[in-house]
Amino acid sequence: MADLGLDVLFKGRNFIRLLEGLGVALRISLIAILISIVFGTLLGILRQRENLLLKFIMRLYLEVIRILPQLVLLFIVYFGTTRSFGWDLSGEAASIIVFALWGTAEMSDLVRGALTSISVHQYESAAALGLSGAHIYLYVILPQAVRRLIPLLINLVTRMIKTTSLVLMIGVVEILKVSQQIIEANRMKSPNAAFGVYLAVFVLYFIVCWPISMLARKLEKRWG
Amino acid sequence: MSEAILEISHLHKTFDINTIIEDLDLSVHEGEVIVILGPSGCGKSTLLRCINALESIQGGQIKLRGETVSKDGKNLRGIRQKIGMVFQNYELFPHMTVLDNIMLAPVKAQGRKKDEVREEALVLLKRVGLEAKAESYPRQLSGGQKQRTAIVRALCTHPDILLFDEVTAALDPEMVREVLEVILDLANQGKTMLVVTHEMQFARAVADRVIFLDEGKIIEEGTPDEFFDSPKTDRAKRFLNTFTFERKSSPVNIY
Repeated sequence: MADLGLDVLFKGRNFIRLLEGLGVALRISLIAILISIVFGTLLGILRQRENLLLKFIMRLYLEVIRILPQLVLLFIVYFGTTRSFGWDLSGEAASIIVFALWGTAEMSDLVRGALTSISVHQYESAAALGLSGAHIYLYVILPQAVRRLIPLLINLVTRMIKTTSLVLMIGVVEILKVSQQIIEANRMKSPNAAFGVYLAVFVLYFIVCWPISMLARKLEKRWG
Repeated sequence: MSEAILEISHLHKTFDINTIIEDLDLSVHEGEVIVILGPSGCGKSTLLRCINALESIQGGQIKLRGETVSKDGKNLRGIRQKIGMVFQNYELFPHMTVLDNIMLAPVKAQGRKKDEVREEALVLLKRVGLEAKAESYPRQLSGGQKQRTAIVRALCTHPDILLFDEVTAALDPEMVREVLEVILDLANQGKTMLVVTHEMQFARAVADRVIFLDEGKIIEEGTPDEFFDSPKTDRAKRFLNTFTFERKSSPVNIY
């Protein structure tokens, strides 16, 4: 049987180190997603307003974030700001900023979409009952919007977790960086380590993201 | 006759350059059932929507018990609670049970006690034959059941007047009757109602007064017998003719 280089995983603290790397990736995603939910929801609701300037600014923000590859954003925030503004950001802080900017933009679009997908007749029938604007949002619109939003939000979370693999490019030691270090260190004794280690990375990502995807599918079925 | 509870004078409504309602006057008295008829696009639904300020108006005045109804008026919410509206497509809140749909406005907008409202809601549901559906969600109901729920929801805020906007237009034919019977029952209880419908038999049975609208104006009005048996205007005659069918040619002899 071909040597898959799996033995490397169980040498010393290698496997623990991979898990720690995964922890870093998840920590960045989790903090970024929490920030994104708060600001994305606010901006999404603001985008409902009929203010042209506000709409234009939001549109510009969303397009810029979407057009730029995340890697470029990471480089701008991590390397660019150091020289230009003299900010001394850690790699992890820069990553959280970039992912929060990205997540906020995507989230605001999801929130806007969920709100506009609710028919105007729902607003009208609630208004016809004599409910106030705040009550209409609180009891009629938001509960329906949230049901449409949550499956989409969960997809965003998995995309974000996967995309954290880019942050190794600005020196953050997350799971992929740890794998490279392990492979490098074992180049002489286990030249086949790449397969085994990356296989482990694949399995770890899968274990994290698959249940999240399943949850999204389940909620979509229940509320659909 | 008793006092007018709804007074509409010189109502003018336009969408952009299109005039939908032109200089319309209408008084509705306590306990009166008015059926509004007319071809589609004549402004009858818009008229109902103006009455509870879902549409802004460009001229004239609408007064409910002396209080002006206006989209940016002070007591709009209070006035809307006094006007019950039932829509063509039910517009129940899909994430709430039947009971929660009914209880939302009385509890949240009117600040009434939950227990008291629940009791009333259950009595009303029983009256429309839906007591077993109180905990169901709208998606589990038939169209007729949804519409009966919507009627109960409109009743539960204790409105002075009820507006029915083509409430059977989206229903399968066999469900129309169960909804119309509920409305007839309400008429017999002396509720004040404005009913827009295309069900002519029903209109005749339920109406105290029929109003015929065309191009945003009242063309003709009268008792149901007057209107259906001897319409005065040609426009009304032509309209009524669209609901009767006659075979023009004599049957072909196949032998």
